[in-house]
Order: sequence, then structure tokens, then C-alpha cells
Amino acid sequence: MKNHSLLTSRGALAASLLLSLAITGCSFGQGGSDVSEDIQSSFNADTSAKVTLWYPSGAEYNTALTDAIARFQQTYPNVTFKIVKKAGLDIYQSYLIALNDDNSRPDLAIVDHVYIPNLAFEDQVANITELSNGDGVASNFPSTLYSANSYNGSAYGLPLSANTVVLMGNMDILNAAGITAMPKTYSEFLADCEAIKQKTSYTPFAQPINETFCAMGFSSYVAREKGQMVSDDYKTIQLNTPNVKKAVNDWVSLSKYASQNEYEEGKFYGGSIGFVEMGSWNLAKVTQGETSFKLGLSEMVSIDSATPNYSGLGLYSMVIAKKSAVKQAAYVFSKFLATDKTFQMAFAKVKSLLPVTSEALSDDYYAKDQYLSYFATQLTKVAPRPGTPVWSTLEQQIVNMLYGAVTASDSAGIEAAIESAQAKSQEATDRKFNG
Amino acid sequence: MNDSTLALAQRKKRKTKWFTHEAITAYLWLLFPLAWWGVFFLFAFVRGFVFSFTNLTISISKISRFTFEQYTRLFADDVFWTAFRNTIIWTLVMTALNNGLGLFVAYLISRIHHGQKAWLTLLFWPTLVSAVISSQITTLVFNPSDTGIMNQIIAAFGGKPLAWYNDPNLSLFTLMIIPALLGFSSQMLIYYVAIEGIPKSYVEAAIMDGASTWQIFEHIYVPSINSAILYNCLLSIIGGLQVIGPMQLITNGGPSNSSMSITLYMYNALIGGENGYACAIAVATLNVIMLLSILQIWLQHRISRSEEAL
Repeated sequence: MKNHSLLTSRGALAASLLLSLAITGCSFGQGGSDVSEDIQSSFNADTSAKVTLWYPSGAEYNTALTDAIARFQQTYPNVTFKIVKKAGLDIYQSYLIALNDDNSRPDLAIVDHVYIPNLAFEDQVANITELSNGDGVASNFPSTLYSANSYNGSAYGLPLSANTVVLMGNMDILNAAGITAMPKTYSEFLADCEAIKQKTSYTPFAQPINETFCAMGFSSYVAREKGQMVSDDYKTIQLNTPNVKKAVNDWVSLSKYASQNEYEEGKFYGGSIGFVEMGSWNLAKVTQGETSFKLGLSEMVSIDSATPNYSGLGLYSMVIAKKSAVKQAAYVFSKFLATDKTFQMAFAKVKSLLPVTSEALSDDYYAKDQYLSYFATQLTKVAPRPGTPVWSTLEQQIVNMLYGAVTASDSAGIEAAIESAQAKSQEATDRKFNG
Repeated sequence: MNDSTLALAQRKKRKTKWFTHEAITAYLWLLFPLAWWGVFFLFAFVRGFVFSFTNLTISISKISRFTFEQYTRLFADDVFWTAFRNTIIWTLVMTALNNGLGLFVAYLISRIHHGQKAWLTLLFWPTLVSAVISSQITTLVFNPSDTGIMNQIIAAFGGKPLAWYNDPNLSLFTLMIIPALLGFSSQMLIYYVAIEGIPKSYVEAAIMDGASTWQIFEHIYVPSINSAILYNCLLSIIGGLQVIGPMQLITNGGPSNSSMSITLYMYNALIGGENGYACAIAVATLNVIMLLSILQIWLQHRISRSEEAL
């Protein structure tokens, strides 16, 4: 009896452990398989497919999608959808986790474009250039918006929603400093900041510090200085090259007119900051009467007359899982979402962002609006953050570099901040490419 | 062997019997927690441990070799050591302050005769506040702008505003302030229960012998609640070594990694697609926690034995 009980209990314990391991599937290998290209090419209006889409939650986003699906199904009635609602637009983190799970992985997901090179490098997302098979989808978008999703010459995502930054000014403060128009060049900008500093009690400029928004802003300074933070083959970090160093110095020069304690964007809307480089997502604060000053807008100032006045690019893009069994259906639907003017405008309006097609951007809603027109025009002159498989590391190093440069007491300190960021980013890059 | 010795031996034998009907029932019920322990801890731990010896990035299918590289990188990584130092400082400060304050407040509450429950409820309240709200309080009070509450107070006394969590020299200290001041509630409750369990006669006898308040506290309270002290300290140490909330919500480890914690660094490695490295950080952290747990068990055992000897 005693032995029987002993065996029963020990057996049950062992069974429990084995069950635990079995439930979680203790293996390295994954069961997903690539769909053959033959099946892909046979996709047509009669093909049946069920596409799982990860999509942001929210009533307005939902309305836009429901309407889009209804119109899409008029052409493709046998394509159905499983919509998985996710908080926020950038689903990269969840996507990273789901990539190794055949049950929860989506066919189509939305990620910040900066993460696409890493997903492509890791062979996790489908090659859009191959899926599009020369259908000319790229011609629908301003070229930068399409190429921002590229890695090694192929596109791995389709643009969904864009944003960019222009220069906003508090005209009341500017007028008090004797400035009557928004600056057009970097030297005018510095002179205006100096005038505000000398003639008023206001802070001239709100500059991001110690936060990832620095990376987007800094990209525009690098582009305007004709620099490049990463080589074309992604294997060399170039933070310590002359043109990028010029951009760092531009950033440092402006920091003398900004708080080095914090990013004072909120204070701009409160009326106590002269200038801010800001996106359209906060325009509602102005258009809905939260501010009490006269707003001035201009495109980003040019640093060099021979170089376009680039701004930074924010871009959410759609990617298709490499292991999806319905890649072609997912591609056709993502192409529909990316190029359908009605959906594009409905989606962009939810968060006051911008559509991605040239057609939607030229709509009067954007082209003739007293504020949005600046953003729509600026979107044709944007510099994406550098596509590299080590973006997470590089982004943090850019933030650290700019913080170090802004708080450095002399040029040697600035140089040290640059070299430190260069070394750490290059180390991460070497590790990535050399395994 | 006389009858009484035989009876004692039989009772002892019954006492140490493993598989009584009652025990088997308990074992069967214990299979449930054992199952999810197996799934959510053991399996995850073994898997993470194995991955820490691979070049895993995002995809498991792309693992190409087993290697010690993640650990050699860990030991040479200055950001990891900064995070390690910050985490140790955080753990020591929080353990000392939360337990010191918790014990002091519990002692004070035990000394009052009316309204004990009201005091306990009031002071336990902050435990219910989420890390998000606590971080919001930090950003409100220690906002680096001149509109931050502390900076306004400093300005009122003619001082210059501080950058607080945006200053590399102050960032970790700033993140500690609110959790240190409000994070003692759980410890307080455990200390209070332990103190209430001390027989009143001990204290009364000490008072009659003319012992001072401090002597009573040192020689009666502290020895009587040493199990609670060890338990609270262990929980504080484990919680401290796993800290991520304030860093992630307020500074993201900055400026220049000055407020980076081990757990946040591990999380950032995961987000950066360096899963093998993140696993190595996790294994290293787990080892530290396990060492401290073993130390605590050993210490508790030693104290119990010395008490028995007395």
C-alpha cells in the first residue's frame, strides 16, 4: 500500500512536469512553412484566404478599417479577415515576441519603419519587391516614403501613415523681439533666437533632450549638412564623419537658446517659448483654441542653399510575416490600404498625421489648409532615420551623444561624446553582421 | 525499552511518515501549482539558460552555434556594470529605508492605544498606487523645468532650478525619493503583525526592570521579530534587484545610462533583438538573487539555532 502510494505520487509529479514541458513545446524548431511561389502567383479575385491583421484599437480606426474591408471585398469577396486589436500604432514589440509563435503571429502588422531593416535582416518579413512583381505600387507615394522601407535594395514594407516636423513660432514673442517673419535659413534662425534672448524674457527654443525624439530631429540636421550616419551597406557607423559632426555642432549651437534640463514642447503651447520644431499631431492644441498666441509656421530652415531643407520622417509601415501562408492576399490588402485615398485620409485624420500617397496629399484638405499644407509640402523633403539592423542601439547612442555634446563644457567634450557613441554603435553593428 | 520510550518512538515514527492519506491528498493538490511552476518558471528558466549560451537574436531558427560570447560580452560591457552598480545602490537604499521606516512606523503604531487600524489603513494606502502613478508624481514634483514643484520651492528660496532626473549626477537619487518615502507600507504591515505577536509580559517585565525604550526595542522587539526582518529584507532585496518601473517610465535609463537598471537593460536588449544577450543578463541576475536567498536561509537557520541554544 505504501509503495503503491509512493509510486502514484511520484508518477503524478513526473507526469505533471512532462505535461508542463509538452504544453510549452520544448523545441527550437518552428512548424511554420513558406507558401510556394506557385500558389502566390495564382492569387486572384476568386481565391479564398483569411488574413490576420494586427491593427490599432479605437473607434475611429475601426470605422476606417471596416469601411475599407467592405470596399476591398467587393473585388475580393473570398478574402476574410481576423482583426487583432493592439494598443498604439507601433506594434513592433509585440511582433518581435510573436514572430516565433505560429499560433499568434499575424500575417500583416504595422511597425515603425526604422525596425524594418532588422526584421528583414533576420529574415522575418516578406520581400515586398518580390510580392509586388513589378506592379508599380511605388509610384503612388513620394519616393522617400517607399524607399524608407528598403533593405539591401528591396522593399520590406508598404507605407501606411506618415508624419514630419516643421518649424512653429509664437508670433507674439517673435514680434516682441522685433521679428516679423519666420526664418528661412539656419543663420536667420540663430539670429532670431538671439534676438528673443536679448529682447524678451522668454526662452527662444524648445529642443528635445535625453529622449528618443532627438533621433528624428537630428536626422534632419544630418541630412541638411549632407551627412550620412550609416554607410550604404549598413556595416559602418559614420557618426564621427565631418558632416555629421557639423550637424552635432548645429544642434549644440541651438541648445544655447533652449533649456538643457528638459524638452519644453508643452511650454510652447503655453505661450512661453519662441520656436519649436514639431509635427502635426499637436496641431489640435492650436486649431481647437487651446493656445492664445498667433502661430507662425514655416518649413524647416535650410542650412546650405545647395541642399534641400530636409525634415525628419515619421513613418508607420505594413509588413507581411515571412512565414504567413497567405502572403499574396496580405500584400494585395496592404496595397489597398496604402493606396486607397478614402482609407488613407480617414486613417490619417484620427491622430492628425499625414496620408502617404501623393494623391491624398494633394487633396485640398492638406494642400489648402493654412497649417497642414506646410506639413504636406515638407513631406516631400524628408530624411528618414537611418535604416540599420541595429537601430535600437544607434538611436540610444544618438540620444546619449547629443546629451553629452549639449552638456559638454568644451569642444573636446563634444568630440568625446561623438566618439563614444560611434564606438558603441559600431561595436553593435559588428556584432550584428559578424554574428 | 520501557513503555513510555516505545510510545514516544512510535509517535515519532508516525510524525515523520511521508505518505499518510492526508499528505497524499495535499501532494495531489500541490500538482496544480507544480504544473504552472513547471510551465512558467522551470521551463522558462531552462530555456533562457540554454539561450544564454547561443547567438540568438530574434528568431530561434537562426541560432547557429553554442557559445560563451554572451557572458564574455557581459563582463566587458560597461553599461551592464553601470546598470549593476545602480541596481545594487537602489537595492541597498530601498531595503534600508523601506525596512527602517516600516519598522519604525509599525513600532509607533503598536505603541498607541486608539486608532491603530486607521493609521495602518492610511499608511498602507500608497501600496495601492501603481508604479505609473508613482512615476507621474515623481515627474510632477521633480520636473526639471522651473515649473516643477521642487524647483519652484528652490526658486522661492533664491536657488537655481535643478535638472533632477535629467542630470546624470542626480537621476538615480531623484528616482529613489518617492519609492523610498512611500514604499514602506507592506513592510510596515508585516512588522506590525510581528510586533503584535510579542507577549506583552516581556515588555512589562522589562519596564519593571527599568529598561529604556531603546533597550526594550533592541533586546525584546528586534530578537522577537527577526524572522519578519529577514523575510522583509529578502523581499526588498529581490524587489530591488528587479527594479525597472521608475527607470523605464521616467528616464529610460538616461541620461547617458546614469539611471539604467539591470532589468531595464535586459528589456532593452530584448527590444533590440539581442535575445541571447538578454538571457545572459537574466541568468546573471537570477544567480545573484539565488545567492542572496541562500544567504538569507542560512542566516535565518543560524539565528534560530542560536535562539534555541539560549
